[in-house]
Amino acid sequence: MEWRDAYTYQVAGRKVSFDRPVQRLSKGEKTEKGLRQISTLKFPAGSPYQLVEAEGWLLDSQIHVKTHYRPEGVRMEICGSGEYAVDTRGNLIEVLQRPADELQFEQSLLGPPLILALALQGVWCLHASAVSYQGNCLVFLGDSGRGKSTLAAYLAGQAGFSKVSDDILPIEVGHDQVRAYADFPQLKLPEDERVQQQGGAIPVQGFFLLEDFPQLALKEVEQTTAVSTLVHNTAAARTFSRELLTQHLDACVQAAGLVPVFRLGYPRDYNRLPDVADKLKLSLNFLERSLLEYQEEG
Amino acid sequence: MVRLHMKLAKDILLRKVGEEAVILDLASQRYFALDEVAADMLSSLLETETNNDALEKLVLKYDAPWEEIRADLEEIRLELLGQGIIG
Repeated sequence: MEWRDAYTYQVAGRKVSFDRPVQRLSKGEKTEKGLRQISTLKFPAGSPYQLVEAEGWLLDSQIHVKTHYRPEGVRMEICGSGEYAVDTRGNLIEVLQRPADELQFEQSLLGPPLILALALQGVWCLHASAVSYQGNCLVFLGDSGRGKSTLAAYLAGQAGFSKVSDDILPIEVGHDQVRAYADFPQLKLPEDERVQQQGGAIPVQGFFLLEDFPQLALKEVEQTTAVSTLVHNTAAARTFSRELLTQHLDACVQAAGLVPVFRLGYPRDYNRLPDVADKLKLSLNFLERSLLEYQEEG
Repeated sequence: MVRLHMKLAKDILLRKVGEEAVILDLASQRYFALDEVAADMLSSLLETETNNDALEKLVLKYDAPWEEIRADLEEIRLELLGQGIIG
């Protein structure tokens, strides 16, 4: 059996170990170099497995991912971007084969394998930007290019708001609350614009699905649409095994019952963002009042 | 009597969401949403022995003409069958 050092990092309230140091995770996070040792995951030929094949996007590149679920662990082949192993509990990521390009390697390692490791630990990563406001998290969902990052960046410059996420937002769904984490490495941002990594979970107060609309409009969606919105905006969900898909659906159903999902429509016009910010503040005050009334009734 | 009991197909997950429902086909990773009436019709199909039993159950519940409920139930049943959700 081969033993090696592991490098353990705190991401989204979970510990994830790697078989090598990960520079991007070292900042602002607890690193326990060499505190535990790991054995290299072995995948004997012929053991039963579930193969999930998926097409997806890694930043601006289209990728094909083959994910092999075996009793010994999960092997993830990102065509052209390396092969990775994740243990069955999502505690450990090993690099089986890495691409030569350093940036491509970093993007791959901190993409599908890390997202899968967190999913195996019950944390789901949304394709989302997010800001915090008065201690709560507002999550912006939508198709690529719809303006999630632009809205979060604008709001982060306004009094009372601060940016939580630019592209990937880990959430965990509890019995009475959905919580978001601000410490996932945001690969899209240049170094000097990266979100200040911070620990701790922030309660999610609302999910907002951004849509093109001729005028400013905010409307809560029905619950099945809410579930569908969360499902379809989860990163790397197409790589999930049947067991993970089941847990993921249950988490989305639970989340949709706890936190409202809104359609937020507005024209693609930067000059309208102040109106969007005002609308969001109003809706948050309304949500806050509703929550207080609910708690008082309870 | 011929048993026509409907069951969820293999690999199909059904979750109630309030009065509505979502369905996941694990094999194809396709998701479906059912509104309140469709969710109720699916429940009736799954909980009763025959399509007629399901229809009778729905007729007692909904204030609509029998023929209209029958047509809607048949439409939903065929759609669910066609999508491989029930069998």
